[in-house]
Amino acid sequence: MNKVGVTPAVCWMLLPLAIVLGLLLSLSFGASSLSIEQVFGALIGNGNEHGERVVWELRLPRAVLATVVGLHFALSGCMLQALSRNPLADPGVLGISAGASLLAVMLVVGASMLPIGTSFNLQGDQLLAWLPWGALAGGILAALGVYLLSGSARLTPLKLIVTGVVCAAVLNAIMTGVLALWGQAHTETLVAWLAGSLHGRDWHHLWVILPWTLVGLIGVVITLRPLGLLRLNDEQVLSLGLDLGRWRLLVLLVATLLAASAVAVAGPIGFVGLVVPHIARGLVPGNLPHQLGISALLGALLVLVADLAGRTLVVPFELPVGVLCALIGVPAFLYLLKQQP
Amino acid sequence: MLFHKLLLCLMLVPLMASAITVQDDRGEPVQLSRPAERVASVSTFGADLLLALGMKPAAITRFGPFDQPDYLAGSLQGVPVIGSRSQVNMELLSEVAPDLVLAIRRYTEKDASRFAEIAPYAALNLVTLNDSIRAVSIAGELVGRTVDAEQINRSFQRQLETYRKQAPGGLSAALLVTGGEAPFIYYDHFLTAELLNWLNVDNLGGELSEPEQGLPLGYRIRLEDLLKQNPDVIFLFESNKERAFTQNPIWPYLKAVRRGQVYEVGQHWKEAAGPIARSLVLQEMAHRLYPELFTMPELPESLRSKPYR
Amino acid sequence: MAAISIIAVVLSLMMGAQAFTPIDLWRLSQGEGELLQWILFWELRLPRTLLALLVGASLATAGGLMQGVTRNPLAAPDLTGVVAGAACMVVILSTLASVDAAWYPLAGVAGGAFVGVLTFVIAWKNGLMPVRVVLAGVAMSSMCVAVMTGLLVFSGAEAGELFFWLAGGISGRGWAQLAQVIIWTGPPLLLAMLLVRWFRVLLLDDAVGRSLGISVSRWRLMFMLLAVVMTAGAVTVAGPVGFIGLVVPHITRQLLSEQSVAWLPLNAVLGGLLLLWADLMARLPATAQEVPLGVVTALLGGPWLLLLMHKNIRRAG
Repeated sequence: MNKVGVTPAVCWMLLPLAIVLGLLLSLSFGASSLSIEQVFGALIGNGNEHGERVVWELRLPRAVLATVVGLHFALSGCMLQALSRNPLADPGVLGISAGASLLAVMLVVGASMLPIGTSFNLQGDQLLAWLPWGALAGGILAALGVYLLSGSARLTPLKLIVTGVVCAAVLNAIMTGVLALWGQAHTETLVAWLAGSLHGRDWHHLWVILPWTLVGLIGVVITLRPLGLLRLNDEQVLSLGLDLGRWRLLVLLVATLLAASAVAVAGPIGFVGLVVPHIARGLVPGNLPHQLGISALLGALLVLVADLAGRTLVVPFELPVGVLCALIGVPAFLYLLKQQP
Repeated sequence: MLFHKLLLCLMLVPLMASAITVQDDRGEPVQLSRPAERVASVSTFGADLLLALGMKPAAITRFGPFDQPDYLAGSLQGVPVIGSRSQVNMELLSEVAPDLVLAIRRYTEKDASRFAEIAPYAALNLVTLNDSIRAVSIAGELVGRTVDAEQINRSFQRQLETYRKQAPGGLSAALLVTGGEAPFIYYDHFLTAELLNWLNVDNLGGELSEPEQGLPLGYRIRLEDLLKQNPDVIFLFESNKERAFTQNPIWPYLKAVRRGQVYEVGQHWKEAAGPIARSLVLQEMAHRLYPELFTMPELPESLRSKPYR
Repeated sequence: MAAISIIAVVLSLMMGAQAFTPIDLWRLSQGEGELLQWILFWELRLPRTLLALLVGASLATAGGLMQGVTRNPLAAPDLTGVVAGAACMVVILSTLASVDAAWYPLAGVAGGAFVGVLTFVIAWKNGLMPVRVVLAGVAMSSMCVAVMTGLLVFSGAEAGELFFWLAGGISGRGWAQLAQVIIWTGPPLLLAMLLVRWFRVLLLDDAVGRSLGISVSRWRLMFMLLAVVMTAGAVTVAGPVGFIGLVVPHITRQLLSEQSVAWLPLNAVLGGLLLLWADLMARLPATAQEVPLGVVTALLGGPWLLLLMHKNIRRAG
């Protein structure tokens, strides 16, 4: 039954190990060269100030955040692909990332224009502290809009995809317009954010996203069985007595929360939600629960590795993780798509 | 016994005097227990000032990976680069272990707490001429060379006054930075534009009523409006891309373009707050505006201003 | 129809940062008037108006050709990655190398063709389902955008400038740019009009074409190539402007049957007019930096497209 001959159990064992390895590598490598003893020493609290700072304040939160963000995007993509019965869907395609980015941009540009902004001493770049909440709200609003425009309870997967694509294009256009007209002073910082970046992320960002991870995981568990059934066509689902409209809405909600919260802390990183579910489907075809889990682990691994590469390739500068995910993801995507039956 | 106590007190006095507290441009106190020796310069200002004082920074930043070495490059061999002025690589900063960080306020204030964990952090506005003078004093005090820093400031003031007396005036100029179709022009309060005023030249950027932290630095101007004001001289700041507005059909109608008075200038004009940079910019600017009266300063070929096309 | 066009053209010549009244226009065309006004009129307004018409016509025709020969109502230069590919290649060249600007159109064509081909190759699965093509195109476009964003980030303070070019616009384009566009879009446009007979055959089933002795796949390739060249020419000067190629053919189809000989010309004229209107609206706000053209076309085209989709999907069941 499994073409590749890989049982789920093997994946479940290997992937977590790979992630742990990735984490260790992330702790050991970076712009500043630390020896293994220094890293180890810092971990057990025995290191010098520099080592401890680099490991505990800079690398560890960032690496953990990378895995969490990757998990979010991959899970979201997997759910959306099942929901829309289309292997080419992901939060970016459906406009969620675009909505999040738009609100984030509007927040930065708007606050520096209003008198309130300056009185709170939120001159331009300080506002980056508020971006997560703006992005979260934006993503949810965009998903809501797409949902309503696709017909709400009467939504079909086809309508969802097409509406999503168009909404994404329109939202991106509005964002570019806002930036062009009013955002002159902030382009440098915002463009970096819009590329999807983990630079300067620390424990604070992790605390912002973890509650949503919990919510998302609970949501996945709740919608697990209906999600498997939603992949069948509508008549079959209805004959099984499933309330199509309600479950579709719930799945969309969970996927949106996962994606929007990830965009909130890392900016819109594309391709993770698109490519990883494909790989998972290739490894464990037909088995949705396992696909979800393996997608999550694979997504975490991908973003972790991408961030590590981005941090170490052009020292002292950094490549945004979004760019690296695209560079890794697209060739993989092209290859997989041609392999699929 | 008393003598020994007195000696002890006398020894303590210099120790206490060495503890330095200065207010930076945020109004926050920057506290050092003794004059800084390893300074991380997040922007060219710090490196500039240190070199003027005969010291060397412990770390510097560049504008970006595609960047050319700037006017200080020759003297900064071997100094580690720790990122760009708006995105500092914290790991490398920590590795360098400085005892003071000099940075531009508007790019780094949000990370103030992170900088402060590594070393005392001084945020400087570095927009206007006053900012530059104050920054030289502040930084000079922080490295324990207050007197020398004041000397640097005073000699620059004298230089400004000399130039003002000699400059005949009667010209207008514009400082343009690439901004796609509509170039970005600087307000009067921007340091480089203020130098124009000292040379009795009218800066077409105009005045800004209430700058906050010196921002915004300027605004976008349509070429049609620029044509109406028609500057005598145009200075184009550095760009790594072909300037779109010079392809605009209006461009060849500008007086400055027809007379060949458009000059591409080096990167240091964008951030001229350091003592070496501001003096160089003043001299070069004067030469370009009044070529018969002032000579070109010594500069490597890559940094000299060039006539545009 | 003719009345609308004339009004549009006159309005375009009138509006902008400095507005002309019709009387001014009359005087200017006679060769009188202040120097500044004269410069604005002859060097900016007039070529810009012509450019808008030409770019709109090219994009609409490219879209019409693509939709017709693939029989796919969702095919268009922007949704199949051609626009993103052309723009990406131009951005790569201008950021990483200091290549003479004359090479940009060629690079644009190469980039657009490459990405467009890839999109269709990916989407092929026993035929070309419209939605698969769209999504493959979006994926390819996203990759191009990611590459461009990466380069943007490294441009540092220059990022803004590149970013706005990516939103599309024709402000500040003059006769030189118009000449460039004419070279790359004029011949393909003319060729497409002349070859309308084969276009009409391709609109029907492949079997019909073969029975008429026409090499269906070869002609399909030819028209796609024309579409790509036209798009690249337009994108190199105006930046990636979306939605025109996608939406205008749909509108034309409401007015006239695709089989009609006049369909392609009408489509081109409509495209030109619509882009001219969009450009007019982009000039409305009194800010120094104009609204990027791509933003206006997205805001106009997006809702229209949604409406179109809903009607089609409801009809299809």
